[in-house]
Amino acid sequence: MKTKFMHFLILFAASRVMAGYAPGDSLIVTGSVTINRDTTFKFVRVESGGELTADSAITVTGNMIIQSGGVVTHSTRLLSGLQLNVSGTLEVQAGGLIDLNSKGLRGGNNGSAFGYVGETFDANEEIISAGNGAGFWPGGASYGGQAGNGRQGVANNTYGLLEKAQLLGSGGGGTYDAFNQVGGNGGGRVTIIAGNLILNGTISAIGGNGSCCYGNAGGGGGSGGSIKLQVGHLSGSGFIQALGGSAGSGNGGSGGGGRIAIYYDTMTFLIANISAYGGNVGGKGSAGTIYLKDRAQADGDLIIDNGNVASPLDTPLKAALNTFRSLIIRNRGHLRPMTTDIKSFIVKQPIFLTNAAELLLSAGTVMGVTNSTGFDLDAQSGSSVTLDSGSVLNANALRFNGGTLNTHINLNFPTATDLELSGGGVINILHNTIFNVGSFDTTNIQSGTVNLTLDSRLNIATNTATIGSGVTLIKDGKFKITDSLNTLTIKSGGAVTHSTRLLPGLRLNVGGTLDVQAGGLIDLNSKGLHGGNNGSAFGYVGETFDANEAIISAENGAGFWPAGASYGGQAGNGRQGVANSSYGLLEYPHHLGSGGGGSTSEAFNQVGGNGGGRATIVVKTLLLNGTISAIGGNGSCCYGNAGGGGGSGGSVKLQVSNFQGRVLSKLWAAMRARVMVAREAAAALPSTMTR
Amino acid sequence: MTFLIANISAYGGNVGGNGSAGTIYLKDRAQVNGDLIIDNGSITSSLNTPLKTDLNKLRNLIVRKQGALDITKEIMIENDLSASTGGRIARQ
Repeated sequence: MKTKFMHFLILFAASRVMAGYAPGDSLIVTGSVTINRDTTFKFVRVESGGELTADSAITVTGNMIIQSGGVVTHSTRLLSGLQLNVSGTLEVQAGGLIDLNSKGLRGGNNGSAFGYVGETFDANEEIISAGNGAGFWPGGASYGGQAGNGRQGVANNTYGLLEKAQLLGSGGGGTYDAFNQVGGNGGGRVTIIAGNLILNGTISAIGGNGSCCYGNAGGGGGSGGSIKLQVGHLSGSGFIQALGGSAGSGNGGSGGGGRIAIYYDTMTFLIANISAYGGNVGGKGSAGTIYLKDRAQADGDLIIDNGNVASPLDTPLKAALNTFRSLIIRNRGHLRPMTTDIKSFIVKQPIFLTNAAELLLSAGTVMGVTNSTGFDLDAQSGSSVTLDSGSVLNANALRFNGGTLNTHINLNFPTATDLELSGGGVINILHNTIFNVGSFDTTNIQSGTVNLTLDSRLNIATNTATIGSGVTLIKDGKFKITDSLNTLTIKSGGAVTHSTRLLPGLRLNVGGTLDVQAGGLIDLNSKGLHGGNNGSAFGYVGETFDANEAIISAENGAGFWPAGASYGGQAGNGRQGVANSSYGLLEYPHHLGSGGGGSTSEAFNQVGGNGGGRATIVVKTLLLNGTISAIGGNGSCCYGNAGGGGGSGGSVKLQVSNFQGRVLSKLWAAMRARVMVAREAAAALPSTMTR
Repeated sequence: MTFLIANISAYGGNVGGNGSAGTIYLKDRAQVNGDLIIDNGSITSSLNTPLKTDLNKLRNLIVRKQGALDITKEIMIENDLSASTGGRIARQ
């Protein structure tokens, strides 16, 4: 290692601390160098093996290059972080590194001022105890994303503003009586102002991992740090990372992602290489925030991407902004705007959710989408949108193409093309909600499930519904306030049903024609009372009704060989279990079927079949070329020769003025059915009947 | 009604201790009384289907295909009573 000073050129070959130089100097780093006073250079190059620790701002009037094997960083827990102001081009070559990993606030037992508890910030950005450490299993640390709790430690809350990205990450919790396992430090902080940035290497502010292990105890993960770039042209194929650290053991909490904010004039850098995932061990962390802003535009783009880390935690929307150009939530990222952070905001372009992403609009928050054409919000591939009661969504066109809508608020789609359910998506119209649609047919409800929950209403302007192939309507609630339709058509591959164990069952009032086409299905199979070990309130014993129609134990489950369940017909006993008695009146079928018995734990909890469901259908004309079916579920098989008991069939009650169908149609109800028909019924009775 | 009655079924389950038939009640609303069908789809069961009803008259009673009806109360049959193909009627 050698050191050489020249006019305009300084070479450091030995470890050294610099105290500042004249503006005309250049710096070439080949060894370990620390700068602790604001310094200006004409040119800087960090070569392989060189490590530049900049604890004060570095200004470069020309270009700065970090070559492969070169590292630029700051000291741990430096609040101001790494500050680079490059008038020319900052080039981080492949293998070059701006390394802020674990350079943030300290983890518990890792230098923290609070012992085994990690460090974080309060609202005034003062360093305080994170409260992440407790006992054997401490929590991770939050910053942009929420950290996972440990089995004992509770993670701190997120902090800072997404558009600022100016704080250190926080420290994960350490253990206090498990041989002092160490929490990971938070990620560090960098602020880069450059004419251009060519990034083929890496800028990384990853939180540290918790240590592992004393028994099953380990430290919590630190949160990702902050990366803020203000550049002219951003190019290259490198990486920008502010990931949360992982917990040391599966009982601890991992860190949340950090914050990345990039302000640019032009950009060809691959956005997929910008990441702020949460940590992926134990209590997994949620995504941090990525904010990208074209400086020529009024508003920026927000990305919430958790890199498929399956965390149940949400990322709060902490911003002083109230308008975004776009919002992308993907790869198990969960965004939850709350009034404590933001009350109202607008997104100008369509919002996309892909790959198990979630958007949860909390009570009191208002989100508007001002996009003028096409869908305003598009939830795809297992993603979901949840609208809490008291939230407001100002958007007029939504698509759920493999995604899910959970709405607790009334929504209106007067134009048919403003709503699309496709790709096996789900619309959950939750309790006491009114859902207004212009039409309900195969043009807009293309495939998937519409779940109309009890006490909710589906108002269809055309008073007509068509259930197409691949569509299931779970109708627990009402069509309009009168709960009636003029026409209901169930096409081949379509199904109408009710939720399991719903006592009122499926009610259809159709003033005109109910057309169940060949392959169409009113499906009440296994929708009745629960079988033993199948959700029964009585454990391995199935459910049935008493004389007052209260749900009681069916007493069908016993030992290895439980019994089936009765309704209209009597079920068979098992070798040990005794079936419940038949119940109800044949002329008034209005019960759910009962659940078969399950076996006891000695027989590995074999499952009794649920009872069949219940339908009450009042219709002027019934065209039944498909199937109405309320079959009881089968018992599971087997542990040795032990299996569950079968559920009883449910009930089908039809009140029809004109009942038509072809020979292929079937009406199944395994135990009891009532059909009230028009006068021509007598002529259809079998000829084998004898007096 | 032109719907084929043979396609209306309420059989018991057919494994182990087989179940008995459920009930199928068809009523032409222009008639006073309706028809009761007990049909177990040829599933052999030692069990009977109890006659649970508040009615005291049926227009027709059909018990067939291993269906077995326990008459547990007095009931009148207005037209036809049929027991065929293994159908059984028992009175308690």
